[in-house]
Amino acid sequence: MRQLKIVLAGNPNSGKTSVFNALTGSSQEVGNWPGVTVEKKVGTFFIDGCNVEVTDLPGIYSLSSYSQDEQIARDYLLAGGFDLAVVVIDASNLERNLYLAIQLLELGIDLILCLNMMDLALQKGLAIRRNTISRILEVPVVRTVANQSNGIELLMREIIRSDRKKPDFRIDYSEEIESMLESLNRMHPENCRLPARFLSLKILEGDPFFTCLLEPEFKEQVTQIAGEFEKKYDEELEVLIAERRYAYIHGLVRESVRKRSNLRARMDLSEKIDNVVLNRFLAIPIFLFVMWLTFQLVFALGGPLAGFVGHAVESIKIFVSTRLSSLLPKIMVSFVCDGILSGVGSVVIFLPNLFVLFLAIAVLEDSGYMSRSAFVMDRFMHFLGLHGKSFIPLILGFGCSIPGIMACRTLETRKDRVVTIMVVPLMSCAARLPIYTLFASVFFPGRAGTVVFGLYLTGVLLAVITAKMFQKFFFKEETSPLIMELPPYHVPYWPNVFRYALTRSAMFLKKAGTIIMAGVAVIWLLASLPAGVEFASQNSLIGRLGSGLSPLLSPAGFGSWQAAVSLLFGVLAKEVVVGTLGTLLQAGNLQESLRLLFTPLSAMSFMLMSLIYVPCVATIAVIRQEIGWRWAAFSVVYTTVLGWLVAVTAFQAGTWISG
Amino acid sequence: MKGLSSSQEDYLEAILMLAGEGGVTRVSELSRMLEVTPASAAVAVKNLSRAGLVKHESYGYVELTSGGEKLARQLYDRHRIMSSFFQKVLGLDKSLADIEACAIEHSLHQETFEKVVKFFEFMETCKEVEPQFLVNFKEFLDAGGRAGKSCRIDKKSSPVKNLVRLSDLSPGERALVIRLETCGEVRRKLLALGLIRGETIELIRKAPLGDPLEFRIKDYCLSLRKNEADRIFVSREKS
Repeated sequence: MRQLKIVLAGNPNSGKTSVFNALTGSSQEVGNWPGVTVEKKVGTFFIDGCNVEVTDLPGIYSLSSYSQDEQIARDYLLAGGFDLAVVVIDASNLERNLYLAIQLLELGIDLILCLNMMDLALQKGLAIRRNTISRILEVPVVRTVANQSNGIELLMREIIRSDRKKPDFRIDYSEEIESMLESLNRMHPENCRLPARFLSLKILEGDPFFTCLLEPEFKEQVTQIAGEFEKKYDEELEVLIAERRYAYIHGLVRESVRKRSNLRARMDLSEKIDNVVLNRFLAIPIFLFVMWLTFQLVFALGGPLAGFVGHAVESIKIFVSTRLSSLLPKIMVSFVCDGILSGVGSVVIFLPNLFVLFLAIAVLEDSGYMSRSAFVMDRFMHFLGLHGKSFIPLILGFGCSIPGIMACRTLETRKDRVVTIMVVPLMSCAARLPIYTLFASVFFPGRAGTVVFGLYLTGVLLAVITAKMFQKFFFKEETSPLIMELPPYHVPYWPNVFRYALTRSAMFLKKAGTIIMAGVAVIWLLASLPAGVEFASQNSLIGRLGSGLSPLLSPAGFGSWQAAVSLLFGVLAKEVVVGTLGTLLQAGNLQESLRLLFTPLSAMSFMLMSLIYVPCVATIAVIRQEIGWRWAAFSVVYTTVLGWLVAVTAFQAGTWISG
Repeated sequence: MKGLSSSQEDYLEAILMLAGEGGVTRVSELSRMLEVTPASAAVAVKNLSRAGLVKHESYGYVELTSGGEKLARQLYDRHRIMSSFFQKVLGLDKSLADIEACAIEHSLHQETFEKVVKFFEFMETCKEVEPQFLVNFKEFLDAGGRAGKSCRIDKKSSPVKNLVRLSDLSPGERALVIRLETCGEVRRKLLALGLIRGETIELIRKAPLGDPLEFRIKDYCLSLRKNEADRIFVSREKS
């Protein structure tokens, strides 16, 4: 059987994902590129006895790299480990999309042009003559409307055709540049697989990634030649070359596209929407409304579903424990129920919320609103040194840190991703609310609302400080500029939306799930060892750990072993703190026994500690999944230290003021 | 500046450069930098200290007093400005320009110096269109000093009217892209996105908080921060 390996390349928003989905259907695997969190999508399709493996690359505008995604796409295309590239082009935005195609032609790889979104081009009144483009560029051109699966079979057949002739493409870059290219070609490094002319062009453009490939003595020579040229004409080569390419494209488009000017329907509709959505006075209210809606969907729609899942897990637990208690020793039953089943429970409990979140994100992205929201919020977020898109993860963090962190995938640079992820856990999540409610109602009756609001505010304040500080210490020189396309709106294509949500949820299960399970198991072990001890009592390992830790916590005003143990359990999930306190105090009246253990002041510092200290095990797992162990570990240490400092400061300051 | 010899001025500048802001240096470092013997450096420092410009204890650190620092900074600015004047206007290379600046800076009258500064400021502010005479002068030099060949007119040196920053446009206004004054990755990306000379670009709107800006170029909408748009020069289209 014939095997083919192809790659999909194209601009962002060119409908590449639709083409990928239409080609490969459900045979997709989503993973990460080695060492980074950029998504790698691979799928296969089978036609006429030929098995084709398709790799989808992150969207790029040119072969000059910029963000991490773009570097990955560039490196993959340059490495050339594939038989054919399908360049997906937004037919309604031909010129800019062709720029990448031209560069790939210069790179000399086999390719097919896929003019996608033909329906939108027609709506815009563009009549594109496929054959003309094909004749001029000497490459096959296929027209598709991928989200209606139009033209996909033609594309498949074109992909497996074997009698394709090697294109010989070149743009004439004026006499002087050509003669410089000639002399550069002679310096071509022997071990370099790239075509000489392509490399020479990139070197003249001055892209440091490519100039580094040259031998040092040649490098100097090139600098000199290029310098002389630029001095002589007072022009920059980089600009001249880009201008030449666009001039070529302009000519190509003029030859092959006829424009009926009376139709600009799609653009007009988008413009009309934007006139409202990005209106000076309405933009922010609309944005906040969309955020509120997302929040509502994730937690109001996902919440009951999560409750349902939680109940299901509980009943399974009860069912299993009654069945097993007659068959197995008590410790084994506890292991199965409190260890394994609780572990599974705490993983799947997130799924409903996450699934809804991913649906919401996919809709926002697919419809084109995501980049608008970044546009609206960028000024504000830029103040924190972050990108406009960072706002959504932070807002989601108020519901739950996990979706907040997962939503950071939409950020482009690593700096934005890392800083936002590190800050999200400081947004007080819903699981912390039960702790506040309990303590505030017991110790600050009548002022509970103000106290809880103050806690949320403290979280935001710490987040601002943390964001600023991390920028300063870890990412000194990277200020990422905002150069962002605002794509035309369109109705989300539901199969894409659902596929997005499904694959992301599956990835969460696979990656974070294992770690969450492990965390739960460790806590279970600590609570039930040594053998025979009462679960989580003072004599269990966790009880002893709590007693050992309590002196450390007494400067913060809550030096009891019960408080320490409940905080340890809180690592599982913050709301567990409340349940654990209930169990440990063995109290008919929790309020009364809390008053014995805490003063209003120490209750305050305990709430502050709960707000800040170690994100729950699921959050840690997701941080690791997204940006690696080191940051996850750092986050644990940082938040613990910060929480302790804030709690101690609050308690000591309070004692000092009142005493 | 009266009373200070040119070598004393050199010492002040050197201390400023070595010590940086509010910092300290040593006599030995000074002697190395100015290529004099440690002994003569020590004498010079002692004289400066007597004039109240530096603080120095024997074998200790040398430190500028606030008066000394002010004076040193003036001298240093003067040096820098003279040096860039030589480089940018006369086209000398950096090392020669520095040597000449050193030689000339001590002997200029305040008034002459101020005029040079003013001239230079003028050059900088009208940098959008490089003065034609300067372009001609460069060519004149390139052509080996032969007059007559210096009248090449190209798109860039031909006067472009209404040259403004992209961020200066008001919503709804259209302009032609003339020049990008960005560098590195940003520039590569902007070029790839089609911001090339002669392309029409229109400011659609500003974001509600004033930044970023939304533009239409080719067939799509692009948003840029003011910061980036500030470095893109355009020529307003006649309405």
